[in-house]
Amino acid sequence: MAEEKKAYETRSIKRLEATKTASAYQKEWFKSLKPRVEAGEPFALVGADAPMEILRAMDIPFVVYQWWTAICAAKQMNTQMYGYIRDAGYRDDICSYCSTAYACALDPHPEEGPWGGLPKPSILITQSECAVMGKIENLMAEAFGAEQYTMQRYYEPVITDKWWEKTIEHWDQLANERRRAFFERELRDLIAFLEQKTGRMFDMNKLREIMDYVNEQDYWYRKTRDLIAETKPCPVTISDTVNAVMQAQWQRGTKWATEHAKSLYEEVKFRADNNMPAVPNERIRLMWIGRGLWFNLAFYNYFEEKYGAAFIWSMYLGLAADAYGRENYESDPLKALGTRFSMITDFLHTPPFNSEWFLKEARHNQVDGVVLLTSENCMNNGDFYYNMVKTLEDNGFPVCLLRADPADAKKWNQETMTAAVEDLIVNRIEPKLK
Amino acid sequence: MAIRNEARSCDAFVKLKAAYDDRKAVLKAWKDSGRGVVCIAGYDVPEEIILAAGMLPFRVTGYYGGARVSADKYLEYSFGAIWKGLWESIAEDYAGLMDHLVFCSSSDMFLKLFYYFRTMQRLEPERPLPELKYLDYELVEHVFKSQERNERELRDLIETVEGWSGKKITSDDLRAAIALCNEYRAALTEFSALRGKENCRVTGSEALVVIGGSMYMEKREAIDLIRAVTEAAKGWPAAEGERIYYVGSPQETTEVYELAEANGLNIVGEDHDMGARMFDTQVRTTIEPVSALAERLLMRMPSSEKGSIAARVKAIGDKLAETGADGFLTYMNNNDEAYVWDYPSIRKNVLEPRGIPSYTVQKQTWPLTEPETLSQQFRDFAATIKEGQ
Repeated sequence: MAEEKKAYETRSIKRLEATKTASAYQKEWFKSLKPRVEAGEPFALVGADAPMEILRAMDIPFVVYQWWTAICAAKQMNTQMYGYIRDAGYRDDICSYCSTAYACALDPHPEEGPWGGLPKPSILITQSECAVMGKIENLMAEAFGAEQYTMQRYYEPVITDKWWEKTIEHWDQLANERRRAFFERELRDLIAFLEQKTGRMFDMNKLREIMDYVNEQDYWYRKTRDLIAETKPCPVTISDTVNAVMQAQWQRGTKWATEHAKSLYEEVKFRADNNMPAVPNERIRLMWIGRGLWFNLAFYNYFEEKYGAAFIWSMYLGLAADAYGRENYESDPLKALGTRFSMITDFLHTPPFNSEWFLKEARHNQVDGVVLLTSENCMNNGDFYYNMVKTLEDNGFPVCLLRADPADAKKWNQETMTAAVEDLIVNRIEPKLK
Repeated sequence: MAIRNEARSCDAFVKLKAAYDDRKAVLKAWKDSGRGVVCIAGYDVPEEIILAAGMLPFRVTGYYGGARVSADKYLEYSFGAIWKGLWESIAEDYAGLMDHLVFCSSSDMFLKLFYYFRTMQRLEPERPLPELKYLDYELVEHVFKSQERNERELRDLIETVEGWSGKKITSDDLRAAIALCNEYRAALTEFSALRGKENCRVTGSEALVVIGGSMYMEKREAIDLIRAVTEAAKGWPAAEGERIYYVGSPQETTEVYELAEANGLNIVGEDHDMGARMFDTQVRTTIEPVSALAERLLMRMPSSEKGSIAARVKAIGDKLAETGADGFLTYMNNNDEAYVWDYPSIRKNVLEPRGIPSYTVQKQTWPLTEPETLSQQFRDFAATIKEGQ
């Protein structure tokens, strides 16, 4: 399958070595994955909320299927992919973020996909967040011939104010005891399933090692986030950090990922120390809330050049900094890990966890405005945007709401979307700067 | 077709329809009675527990009195017609009338609404919102772990309701309430036999009124009225129209059913909880009551929101056989699209082998934006079924 050419530039400017290194590493990792899978090793396709550390501790390679969507979108392949879904009798205009991997299973030429195509998984681990996600996972499992394992979810009965102050050092104060115990049991059940399925024994000491790496990796992300937040003009933009962080998060808990996070920090620090702003004419700092615009990461560059408006914040680095680390886990690694994988969704999508964090990050990163991307065709879409917008705007951060599909370029209207962000800059931010 | 004169002249039906048409009046009267009302948002909150505490369970449905101004202001576009209606009822129409509101995990949208209202209590503390409770069941996986979890949720609910009512709920109280609700479900099952193939005496819209109206009555009165309608309806003329099974967004009013009936169809069964799914399984009386209530949660017909595709294929196959439907209609509101992902498997494994024609209506809103188009679609579908016969 060939990449589709667009009338507008879709590839962003890559300033950092860390971004290039991450992409190169992923490609190589992927190449090495194929022969392993073909030789009969287990391979898991997982949802973004799956506890990947457990798989890593058992040396089971995995791909996060929503991240795979991002890769396919960046390669401009998704629109064609969704055609396979349509041909199979489903709708090609909804649920795109979750259905790309299923489309790959229907692709008559899977080897032409990104990086040689998605290998055939033997295990599918999910934690269905909405009715549709569960269905698509059923279809994926059937199409790939993979065994589906669904982890149960449990709602958050308690509102934890300033959750980001508790995640790393005081994770035992997150959620209530019942919920923590619930997710620990879910992890134990998953381990039992994987042991039975693969014949491999889980090693708690290996998990401890992985969690140490994760803590170190996220320490570097915190330093990077803080450095970006405090440096004006900013040494990097999200065009630099989104890929560098997301691809390394895929390898979270490895020596490579930890070193990569450190190198990312050092590179950003070098730029900050040597007065190398990403946008030399930086006048405005913007926050991008929502999924990455994978098929068009160059979108951000236009505003840099024309208005000196730099998109400096995205959830990928912010969340890596505040939500993943778990110190003092030694006595109970599974319980600590449980508070992570169960609560990421809360932090991002559940009010008021999400709005309070976005406000904290907006202040910390000294942004002038916010662009909020809402995924148009996602049935699970609903983070209480009213509350998010009100919380941000009441505190002096004007918000522009963009309704778009971050995975499928076919409905993207470059002109309209550009005009919406321009309106935010020209009519709501610039007057305040004068 | 639709609601016929025979039904309109039946006293029991008229009483059920009065309750169905003015649910708010029922809520007001119940609140004024001082018995304590527990409002329900979700399809899996056991009324038995509320009745056992001497309180009255009130199912909250959407607001259909006009524009949903509040919902349009606060909710994202991904909330379809049902969810916007529910928001409007809770936030505006029933404001001040509800003291307690229990959400449950029948759909992930109930969880979203629970989270939103919980946030609203902070955001707008002056707004008269009820005390909120959420029951987080596991309804997808039918395993012991789910049964245990669901029992725990129900024991939590019992504790909460005891706090609200000031009454300790005993096992005997629960058994008595289960017996009453089983009798109620049995009465509805007997009534629904009149939607059967051999002797179809009621239309889909008449059935919706009887089922839905009975939800807004005290159980004993509801049972008596359902039985009275059942007896009367045996003498009503045969209900005409091509027999179809309905899958899709819940219908909280008779509007869509009546439109279908006006265009040559008759809905003889459905998978939503304002219709036949509400009473499709009894609670076992031979085991410990909380365990029995939890068991029913997993034994019910799987909903599209909470059933795997395989479970749905089997359940739909069974229901088509049970109802003797000659057609299969999927009707979806905008952003209410779990059904889309079931349908091709149902078509392949059930409809095509049995030669049952099907039709899918998508992206519907409330109020209906194009009733004429919908009418034409229903007419075409009726013609297709007729042709096949």
